Amino acid sequence: MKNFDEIEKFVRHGKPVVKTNRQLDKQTLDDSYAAIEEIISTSKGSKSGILKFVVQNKAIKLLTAAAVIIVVISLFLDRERQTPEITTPYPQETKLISMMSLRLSYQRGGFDALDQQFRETLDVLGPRSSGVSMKELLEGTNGS
Amino acid sequence: MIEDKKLVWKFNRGSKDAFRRIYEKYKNELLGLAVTLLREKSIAEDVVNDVFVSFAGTVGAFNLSGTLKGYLSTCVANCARDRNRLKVGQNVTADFMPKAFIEAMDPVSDGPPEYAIDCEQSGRLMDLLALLPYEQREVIVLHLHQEMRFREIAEALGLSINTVQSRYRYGLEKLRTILNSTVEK
Repeated sequence: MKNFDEIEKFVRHGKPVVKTNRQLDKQTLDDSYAAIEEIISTSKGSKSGILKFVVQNKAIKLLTAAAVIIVVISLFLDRERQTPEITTPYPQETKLISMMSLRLSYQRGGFDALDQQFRETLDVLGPRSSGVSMKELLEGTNGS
Repeated sequence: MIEDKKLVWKFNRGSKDAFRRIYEKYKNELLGLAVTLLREKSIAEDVVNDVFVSFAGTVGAFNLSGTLKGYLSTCVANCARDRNRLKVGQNVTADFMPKAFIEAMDPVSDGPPEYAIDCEQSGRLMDLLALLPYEQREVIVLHLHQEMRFREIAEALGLSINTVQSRYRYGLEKLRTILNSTVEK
């Protein structure tokens, strides 16, 4: 035999075909069944009374699952309800005043006046400032 | 494969019938593997018994990641390796061919002549494999008889794939040398 293919073929062909005897079958199955029963009885015994009752009864299993789902959903909804509403930083009236101010500026000097008002507003606000009162903003730029 | 998954699923729920079907499906295959690795039928039977009893002990928690055949074959190989360590020190000669093994052979072909040939070839192969180090024999048998991939064998035995492939190559090389020297004689 010169190459590995022939050796592999020889080994494959020489695979022994054996059969277990009845004695081995019986002994193995008996020992294995005993092991299975032992494991099952141990795991059953370790469960608490209520858990055992729940696991053994299919209807109770379903009811428990349904109850868990309902509780989870209600908790979720409750949480949603408790989430604070996102409120605008300024009340509706403030928005109206701003709009009126912008309109007056536009009527007074068109886009140039608007542009001027924006620039002045930005000068007062600075970068993302929210600590400036509306009165301060409108002072001198609301068309008066 | 799907059938095995189904059987394992049932077995995990405590089905003895599923366990019996798994046993019936793989018992002869695994005994053949153990006999090839150990060359003694009585020890091979002990190994098969131990493997199935251990497997039964995993009921409810058995997690099959590869193939069931691969898993059980690996269990047999590991158990056989332990038994083989115990045997170290005993002299195993190349002409050793246990009578029990011959008796255990099952006719795979139609008539008596083929049966004799099969027995003879298996016996010859066992003699040759016995001349290899156990590690090489194990890899060759798992790959060629149990049809396990090198990667699968490496994972199962906790070795690198290169080690497994090297053992396989060296084993085949040694077999070739022995066979060629036998032919020359």
